[in-house]
Amino acid sequence: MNSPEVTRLEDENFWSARRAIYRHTDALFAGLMLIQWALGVATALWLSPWTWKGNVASLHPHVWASVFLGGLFVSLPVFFAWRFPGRALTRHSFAVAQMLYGGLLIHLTGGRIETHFHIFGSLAFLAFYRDGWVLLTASLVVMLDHFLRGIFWPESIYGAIAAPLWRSFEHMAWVVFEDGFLIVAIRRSLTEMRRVARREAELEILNAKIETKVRERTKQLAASEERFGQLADNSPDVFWFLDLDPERMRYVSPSVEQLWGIPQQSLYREPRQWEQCIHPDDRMMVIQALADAVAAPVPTLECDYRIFRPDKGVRWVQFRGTIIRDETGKAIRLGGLSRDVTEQKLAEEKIRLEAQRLRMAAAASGVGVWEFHPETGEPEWDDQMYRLYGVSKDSPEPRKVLWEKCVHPDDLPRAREAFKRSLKNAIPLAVEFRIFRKNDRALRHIRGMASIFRSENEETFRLVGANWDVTEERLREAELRDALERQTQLTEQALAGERAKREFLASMSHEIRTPLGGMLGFAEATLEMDGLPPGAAEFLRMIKDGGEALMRIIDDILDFSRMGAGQLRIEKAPFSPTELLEDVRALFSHQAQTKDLMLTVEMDGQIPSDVLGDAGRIRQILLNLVGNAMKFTATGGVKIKAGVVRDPSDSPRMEFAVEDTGPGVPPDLLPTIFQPFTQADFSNARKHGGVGLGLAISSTLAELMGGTMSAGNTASGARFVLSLPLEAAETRTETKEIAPSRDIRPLPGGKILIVEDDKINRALLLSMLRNTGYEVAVAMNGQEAISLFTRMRPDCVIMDVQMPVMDGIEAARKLRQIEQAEDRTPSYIVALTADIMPENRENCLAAGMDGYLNKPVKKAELAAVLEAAGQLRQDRSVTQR
Amino acid sequence: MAIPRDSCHLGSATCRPLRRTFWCAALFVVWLAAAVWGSWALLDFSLQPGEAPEVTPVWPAGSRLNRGENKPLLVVFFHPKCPCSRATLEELSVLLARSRGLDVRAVFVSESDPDASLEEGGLWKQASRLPGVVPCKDPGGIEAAAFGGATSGDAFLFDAGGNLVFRGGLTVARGHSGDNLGVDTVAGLLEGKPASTTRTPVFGCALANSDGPP
Repeated sequence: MNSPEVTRLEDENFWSARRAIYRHTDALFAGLMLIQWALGVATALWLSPWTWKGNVASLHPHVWASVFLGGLFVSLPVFFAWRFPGRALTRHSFAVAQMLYGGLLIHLTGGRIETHFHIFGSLAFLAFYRDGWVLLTASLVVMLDHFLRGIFWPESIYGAIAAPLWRSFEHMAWVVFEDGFLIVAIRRSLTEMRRVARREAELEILNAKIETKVRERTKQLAASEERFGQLADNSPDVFWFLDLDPERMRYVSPSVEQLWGIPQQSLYREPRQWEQCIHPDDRMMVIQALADAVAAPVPTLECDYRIFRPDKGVRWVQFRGTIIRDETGKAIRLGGLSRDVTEQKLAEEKIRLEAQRLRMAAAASGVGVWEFHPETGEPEWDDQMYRLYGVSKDSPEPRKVLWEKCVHPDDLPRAREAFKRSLKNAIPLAVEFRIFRKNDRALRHIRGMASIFRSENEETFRLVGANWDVTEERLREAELRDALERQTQLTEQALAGERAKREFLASMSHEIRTPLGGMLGFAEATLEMDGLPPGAAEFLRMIKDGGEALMRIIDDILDFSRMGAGQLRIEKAPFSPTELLEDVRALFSHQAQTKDLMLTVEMDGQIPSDVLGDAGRIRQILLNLVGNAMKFTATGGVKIKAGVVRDPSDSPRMEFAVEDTGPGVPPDLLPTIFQPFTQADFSNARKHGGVGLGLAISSTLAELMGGTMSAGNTASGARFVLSLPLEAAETRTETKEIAPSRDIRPLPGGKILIVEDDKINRALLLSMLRNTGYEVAVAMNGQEAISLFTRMRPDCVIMDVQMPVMDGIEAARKLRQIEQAEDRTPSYIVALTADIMPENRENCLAAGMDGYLNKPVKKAELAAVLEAAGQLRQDRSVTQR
Repeated sequence: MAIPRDSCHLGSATCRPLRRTFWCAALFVVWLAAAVWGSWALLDFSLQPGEAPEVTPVWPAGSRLNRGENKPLLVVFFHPKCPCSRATLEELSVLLARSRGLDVRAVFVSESDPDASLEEGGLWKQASRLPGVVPCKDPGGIEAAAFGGATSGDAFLFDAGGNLVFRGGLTVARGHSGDNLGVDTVAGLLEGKPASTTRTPVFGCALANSDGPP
């Protein structure tokens, strides 16, 4: 270490030491000189107290000299030592005084050689100053004294009356000789002092550094203690230090009051107070743990226990402590931290219970859980995994190998690839594979799923997955697939049956209605002939009535069939209830006249002029009800009532009631009157026909329209009521329509093409069009119709739908194509069909037909069609012009 | 290098105020002068000889001292309590060493009445231990008066014929032992050498109070 700072401190220390030596030696010499003075006085008093003149004594001058001259010698240096200790003048004054004193002593002893040693001793003493200059001063005084007295008073210094000069020089030489030794000693001493001073300087710097370091450490320690204090004072955890022998609480943080409910200060007075709060079941355990920790050389003590607090109940406390021991190993202090871990304990208990439940659930459900860490490459299995794979937990083989051995060879590459993909891309795993269980070689289906769980720093992840046996599920799925296939087959079969049924119905409708229509048509046509033989008209009318009854039965059967298939459609359109009821009355007016019955209509004035509903279906119901009433009433009459029922708790309803004066409905039949095939008289002798479908169909129709049917008896007969929701429609604009004529208007030049394969219908149509002025052509099928259409260019085409070679739908489509191709005025094409299925009608319109006629064709309906065709021709002609 | 506060040896202006230094130096000088003066005064006192009246050159007739055989005899008078006379006895012992066989009469002058305590004195005992020295009492100073001795240490050398050949002190100053002219002269005379002087100053207390009756 050789820095300016060291040099400076070295000088300071060196000179400080020298000043200390100066002051110390000043004090030494002050004492020495005082003693010398006192000894001088004492010696004078002892040796020569008196001087005599005879017997008269007087104080010897030596006594005076010792007192005053000696005092003079002593006075100044002692004064300087007192006032200016350590100063150069002080020590030089001591040097001079001491040498003068030596000279005086030599003189008083008559120059005795022994007293010269006082000089040498004094020089040695003066060397205590370790200042060569002081020796020089003293030596100069001595030399000067010897020199002068050697010349002038040799007897004073040498005890001889005469002394050669060399004797003085000899004494000087001895002084110089001693000075030489003393100076060498002084130099060595100063060198040593400087070395010590340098060492001290280095030590001081080192000490300064150490002190700086200590101050820093002290500051850090203080800051640390402050931080600890802040931490301890503000932490909910309890910090405490307990001296063990004697037992004394050194520190406990204020939070002890929150955790233990014990005042902080009271613990200082009574450290063991905290033990009283420990739960009785845990107290001995805690005390024993503390005793063991104190006795055994364990560095730390960890202990969880419960305490009981009157205000908070049982709380869990976690203690982590340290035993502090002295150098002999004796435990002297216990320090630690106590923390309220009640919530953590409760959470752990909850987690433990949940884990237990999870294990139970996993065991019960057969789900095995595994966990895979990419770092280890070896999956961890729970017990259920071993059971799933039929593997013993004690198997020495790695689980990865066990797994691969169990997986079906056909599924192993796929399962392995799925696992690798999940691992590589860190994506969830979902895979299913088959295994051969190791213990029984049973083939099982295993479903595996896994999720990625990343570490907090997102650097690592692990796969946590579950395996469970889905063999039963797969078997059930296979069974379900088989059942579905069977069901599909059955459904297809059912659909095929339904199709066959529909086709049968359509065919039956066509096949029955077509000849029946012809029969009715011809009967009606014959009735219109003049000159019929007597009774023929009656027979014809009976034929007609019978045919119409048969037609209604067929229609009922068809409707019932459609209902069963859910194919009945309800339309909603504005209609006039008044007109509807008048129409119904008109239809039965002839029959009423025949049976001499009163047929009346009563309408409530509240019925709107137009309502929304399916007029056709309402009409069908009313026709059924009125028909039944007419059928069962022999005398009296039938009354049709219509009105509005307003119930505050319900929306307004429209009610149609048909009352008769017949025998009424038997009461036991009322509950089942609307069921199919239910009739009031099933006896072989019953008077009225019917199949018992009319009321059932009416009831179903009413329900489809949101209404109800009810039946009951009045005092005079039966009463059937149709109740429907009343939906008023906007009043239709009254248009003056030309009522279709029941006769066909002659139209000269008009061309009609009849396409019909049934000869009866062809004949009927031809008979209806006879004498009407129309040019009529007939085709047997669609193919012929196309040929005739091209040549004839008819205004109206009456096209049967079901025909051999080419049916009416296909033919109508081709006719429209021809018209477009030849840019001809479109003809009015009307379908002629006995199939009253709605979809059949829609198909006709979709093929380009303008309307349809139901078989049996009625003359009035044909007249309306021809009128529509004539109107269309006029409109198209105007458009073309 | 820092200047130490006391690096100067004779007082430096950098070390202390000049005024104080001046006064200290002045005080030192005064003190030194006083010390030198005091030393000189003491020296001067030491060199002040006692009275030595003229005496007869032969053995006094009325002396009761034993003259002894016909050989040289040295008579030395002492004040029994004179501190300076110890140096005389020391020089006497030197003389006796140089002049063996010399008879010496150490005459202690006392009060007129015989003083029994005289023999208890240090000088008496010291003289008694010297060979050839016969301590004698001189109550009332009769012998001293007869010989003419007035100062302690006054020595008289008589030859074999009873003639006074030397008279004076045997020390160089008061109480100062060491080589001195008295001893050298006596020794030389005893050896038969010629003496450069027969008288030397006597340094010691007065044997009698000249201011009053002894």
